[in-house]
Amino acid sequence: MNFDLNQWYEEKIDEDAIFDYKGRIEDEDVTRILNSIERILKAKDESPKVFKKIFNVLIELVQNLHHHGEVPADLNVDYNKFGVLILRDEGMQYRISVGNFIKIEGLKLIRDRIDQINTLSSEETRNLYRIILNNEQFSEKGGGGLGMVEIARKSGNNMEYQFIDYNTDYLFLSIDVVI
Amino acid sequence: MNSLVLEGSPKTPSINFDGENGAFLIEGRSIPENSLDFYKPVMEWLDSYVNEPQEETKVSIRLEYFNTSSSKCILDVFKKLETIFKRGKKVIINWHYEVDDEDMLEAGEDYQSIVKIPFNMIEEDE
Repeated sequence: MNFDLNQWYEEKIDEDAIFDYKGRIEDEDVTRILNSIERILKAKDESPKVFKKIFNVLIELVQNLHHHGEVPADLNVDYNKFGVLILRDEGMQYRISVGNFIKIEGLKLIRDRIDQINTLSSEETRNLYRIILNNEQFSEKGGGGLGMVEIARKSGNNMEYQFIDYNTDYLFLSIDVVI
Repeated sequence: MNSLVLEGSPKTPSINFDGENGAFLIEGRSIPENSLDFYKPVMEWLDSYVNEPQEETKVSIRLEYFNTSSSKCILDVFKKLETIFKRGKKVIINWHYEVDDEDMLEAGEDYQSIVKIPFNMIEEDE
C-alpha cells in the first residue's frame, strides 16, 4: 500500500484546522504563509504570549520545510522545495503539523536528533541551545542545527513524528508540535 | 567613521549603526531564510568600526522575533563588539523585550551567558 499524500492531507483538515498549505516552499511562499497565519491569529485575538510562541515555532518549521523539503520526481511539479503545513486550534492547545519528503539516507540523522531532543528537560534544552549557539560551525543550510532545539524549547513539548515509506528513494516525514 | 543604515523589511530588521556617536540599533524582525546574506554587510561594517571604535559604544537591541539562523549572526555581532570591549573601550548592550515576553528575555540571557560585554535587560510596556 503506497502512501497517499492527498489522502493524508485531507484527513488532517477537519473542523479544527484554521490554516492549511500544500505546495511550493520558496522564499516568497514562506513569507505568504507566515503573513496568512499572522492575520488569522490576530483576528482570533490570541494573547500576545501564545501568539509569539506559535509564531516563533512556525518560523522554524516553515523554514525547515524551505531548507529540507525534497521533491520526488513522481510529484510532477516544476519546483524543488515542497512541504505541507496545517495549523489546528484544538481548544486548549494549538497543533502545528508539517510534512515533507526526505531522502531515505537522511532518516537516521533526523530521527536520532528528534529522539535526543525529546528526552531533554527544559533546562537541558536551554543548555543544548547555548552550546550549539556558541559553536563556530554553521551547517551548509545556515541554520547551525539550532532549529529543532528552538522548536522544542519554545513549545515546551515533545515533537511527535512519523516516517512513512514513499518509494525506494524517499520517505515522508511528518512532525506535530503542540503549543 | 561613517554610519550603516539598512531599512527594515517584514523579514529583516532595521539597522542603524551611528559610527560617529557609537550608538547602534537593531530593531524589528530578523527572520530571513538566509541570514548570512543579510548580515554580511553588517559584519563588514563592524570590521572597520572595530579598528577605530568610539570610547563608548551603546547597542540597543529591540527585536520582536528572530529565527535561529539569525541568532548566530547576532552572536557574531556581539563577538565583534566584545573585541572592542576587551581592548578597554566601554561597550553596553541594552536588550529590550516586551512585558511578559519571557522567551525574549531568556534569549537575551543566552547571549549574556556567552558574551563578556555587560547587558542591561530592559522590559518595555507594549
